[in-house]
Order: sequence, then structure tokens, then C-alpha cells
Amino acid sequence: MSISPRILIGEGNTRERNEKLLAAGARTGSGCYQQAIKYLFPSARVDILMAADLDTQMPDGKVLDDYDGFVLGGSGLNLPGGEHDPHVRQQVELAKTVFEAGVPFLGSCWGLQIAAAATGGQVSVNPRGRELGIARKISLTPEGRGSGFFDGKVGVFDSPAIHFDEVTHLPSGSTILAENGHTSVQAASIKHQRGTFWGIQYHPEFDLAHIADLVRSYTELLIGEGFYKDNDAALKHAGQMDVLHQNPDRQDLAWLLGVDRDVLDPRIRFREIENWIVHQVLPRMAYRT
Amino acid sequence: MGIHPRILVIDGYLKSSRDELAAGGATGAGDQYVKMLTQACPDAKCDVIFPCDPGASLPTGAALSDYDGVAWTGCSLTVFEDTPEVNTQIGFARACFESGVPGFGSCWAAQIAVVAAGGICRPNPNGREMGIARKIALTPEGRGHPMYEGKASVFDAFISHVDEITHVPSGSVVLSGNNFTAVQSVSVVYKRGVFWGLQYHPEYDLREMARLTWCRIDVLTKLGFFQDRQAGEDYVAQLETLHEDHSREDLAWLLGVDNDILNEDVRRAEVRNWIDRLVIPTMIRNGRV
Repeated sequence: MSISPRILIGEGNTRERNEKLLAAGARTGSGCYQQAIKYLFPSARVDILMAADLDTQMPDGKVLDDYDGFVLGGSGLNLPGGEHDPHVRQQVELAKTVFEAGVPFLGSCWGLQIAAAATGGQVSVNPRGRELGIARKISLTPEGRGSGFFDGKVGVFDSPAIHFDEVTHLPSGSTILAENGHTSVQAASIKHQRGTFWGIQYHPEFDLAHIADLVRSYTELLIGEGFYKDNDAALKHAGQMDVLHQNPDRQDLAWLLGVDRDVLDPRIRFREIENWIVHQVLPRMAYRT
Repeated sequence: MGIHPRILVIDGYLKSSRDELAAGGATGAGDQYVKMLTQACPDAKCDVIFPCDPGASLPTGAALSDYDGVAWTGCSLTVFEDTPEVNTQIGFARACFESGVPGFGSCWAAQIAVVAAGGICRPNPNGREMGIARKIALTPEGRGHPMYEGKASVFDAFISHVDEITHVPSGSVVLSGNNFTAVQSVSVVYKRGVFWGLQYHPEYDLREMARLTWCRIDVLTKLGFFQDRQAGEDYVAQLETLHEDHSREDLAWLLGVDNDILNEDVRRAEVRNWIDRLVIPTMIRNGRV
């Protein structure tokens, strides 16, 4: 039996940013999510909403209530300093609508930050700087260990990440589910109005090839922030990630880059996305039909 | 008034292995231990003995009690092989337990202590764990254990081993583990003694890890850690460059290491706690303070 949940993915980046990514041969953030969801549920019906574009419209004239779940992933936009940016404001308002509608809500990175901001939480620049590449030693809290969001995950794991800001304050009705030494809120759930949100600061939807694309796209910025000595070092590292992505059995590269199955095995890496669909999206689908 | 504990350091290596490592520029295991112990306790008086050397005289029971602690290094022997060098050290570990002098040690030493008290070690089915043991997580018992006062609940550490502790004797408590190795640290309580054993190596620094790796490049290449000798040489050079200049945050990030590895106070919290919580109380009980 094919399982066909209807999922709306919000694209957090503006058209200009997405065109640059696509022109460079990279995927968009929503494209990464679409791929992950289709990997897990090949019959899922996925639509994409260009959430950052001011002239955006719901796909095919649908309304939020037509969906079993809403996902908001990453964005190059920033909440600190971006409070009055209409591309940001529009996404905060959208998140409020999702909570009001009670549609199951999943967010990673920007998605978590937007959900926190929409419900009275706060987001600030992370004093430890950008967390890039692999978020290491993410540790579940006891609440995280008990949450269905992390069924089948081990208590400590790594996952792809790229972010500059972090959630510092969550609204009441929230629970911190995971943390690491760089970022105190690596995962959280927020109950607000009719909705339940599950979010992660990291990016399980990204693979190493996408991290490599982002490194190539932001090379100058990352050299400035001290991640790479020079352009060659960045290109070499991006190349290593590409090769390992193509050949996950290259144990030498996995060891050199310090990554294991947490990152390389999509069945492990996507587990939070899978758990969200199983525990939040499918029940809604069942009640709707 | 200074605190002058007398510590017996057991360098378990064969002379031939010591010579091979010295030729590759590595510091002897016993000397590394003396350096670590005197860093934690500047007035410690350490005697180093080499039990594998022909005619080596180990202190008798009475002489053992002149010491306030026994610290064991790692070594390249295999604890479940029935050889005179192994059996001598197991016998000496039993004598240490009987004497009640507190013990501490890494890798081979943890295995020796476990076997001496009736536990079992076997080859690790995951193969060799080399370089950085990642995502070591304290058990609830470890979180409450005095050896880990001031240590984070999840951390990385230097490592190099192929065998692992599979069964701890009764009276022992497993304090930490990771996905690669279920027992990363153990407290063995046996007869009159207590031994705190780590599967990882707090005594190493990046330079020592680099030299040990250099000595093993060909073996490690055969095992699949390096694609070729050049990849191994490049890795060793990266470790050494970062050792010389800890401000090279780009290299730390590329190698996936943080303060768990780079900061000696973090890396060696276990040693300081051993001196404070076991060695100094032993001195006081023996009327040596």
C-alpha cells in the first residue's frame, strides 16, 4: 500500500538566492527536503511554497488546511537585524497561520528560529560563531530521549549544520530536546494554539554534497570567518565531501573528515523527518480521510 | 607545604616497541605519563619501571605500599595472549589490587585491570579505533563518578586500540562508552584496591598522536585509514601544525576537534580527579601528608 501524505514545503530563501544556487548546480533548501521526503515516502505528494518571495501564492490555489504537514527549512536570511525585512516578516506571519490551523509543523534551522519567533521566543546571534559542516556531539535531553521525534536515534549523534543564529528563549509550552557544546537548543518542540511544532537547529535534509555546494557558494565569507586558510583549502575540503558523498564506502575519507553513519546513512540521518511524518503527519492524514 | 605523592608508573611496552616509537620521534609512554602526572600535581615524585624488560624488578607487596598511586601506560601487547610479558603484568595488577594502592591507566592498562579482577577482553568487532574517539558519553554512573567531576557528559578523546573490554568483573562500574567501543572507561573495585581505567589516552597530545600515527602509517594504510602513504603524511603534518599553533581554528575545524582535545585541563580532568580523590586520601591515610 502506498502512503501518500500531502506535505507543503516552505522555501525560506528568496528567488535571487535560489537562482544563484541553481545556476551553480546546487539544490535549493526546499529541493533537499523534497528529496528526503520522497526517499522516505516515495508516494508523498509534495508542493513547494516560495515563502520568502513577496509575490508568492499557494500552489494551485490550495489552502493550508489541504495539507497533512508543513515544513520550513533553511534560509540565508537572519532574524536578528531582520525583524523589519518584509521577506522575514512574511515567514513569521506564515508560521503563526500554521500554528492557528493546527497543521503539523516541522522546521530545521531557520524553520526552528521562525517558529520560535512566531510564538514569542527569541533568536540571537550565536556568541560561538557559525556552526558549519557537521554539528558534533548533539546530545538528547531526557525529554528528547523520550520524544517520538528521536525514535531509533542514539543518545548522542552528529548531523549536517550551517547556522549563525540560535534560539535563546522558547515560549512556554516548549521543550528542549537536544543540545551540544556549540548550541544549547539543537532541537525543541513547541505547542502553541492548535499546533505542534517539532524543530531542529541542524539540517538532516542536507547531505555532504549540499554542504560542499554551500562551501563553494560562500567561500569568501567562510575564509573571512576563519574556517579556511584560503580558496584552495575550501575547494579541497568541498571536493573531499563530494567524493565521500559519491562513495560512502571511502572509509579513509570518512575518518579524515570525522563523520560516520550518523551523517552518511540517510536512513539514520533522515530519522527525525521520518518520525515527524509517522507520528504527526500520518495521524492527521488518517483523520482527514 | 607542598603535596608530594609518590607514584609508580608502569610502562608496559616491550623494549623493541619502545625503540621503534622512539625512532619515529614519539615520547616514551612512561615519560608521557610522568609529564601528565607532574602537570596535574607538580610535586609528584614518579618512578618509572618497565615490567617487560628482562630482569625488571617489580616492587614487592611491602614496597608497593610505599607508593600513593600506581599509573599504567598503554602498550601494544594483547591482553588475552598467554605470554610471559602479559602474565607478569596481570600478576602485578593483582598485587596492586591486594596492596590497596589506587590505580589509574589508559587503554592496555584498563584491560589489564579488568582481566586481573576476573573480566574479559576480546578483539573489537568494529576493528581499530584510531585518532579521535568521538562522542564518548558518560553513563549515569559515570556522570556521578568522582573521576568525571568537571567533565562534560559527552566528549572526544585520543585513542588507538583494537581490543576492547567485553565483560567487566562484578564490583566494576562502566563509566562511559561510544558507538565504537561500549566500555570507554571503567572503575574496577577488587580486593583492597580501586583502579580507574580509560580505553582512551588523556596523556597524548596532538604531537604524540601525530608521531604514533607516523610510526603506523603503512599499517594504517593497509587497514584503510589512508588511501596512500602521502595521505598519511599529510594528516600527520596537519596534526603537528595544529599542535604548534592552537590558533589555527581552520585546522581544528577540518580535523573535527575542539577543546576536548586541544585544552589540556579539559582533556586531563580524569587525572586531576584521580590525584585529588584517590591519591591524596591514600597519602593522608598512610600519614604521608
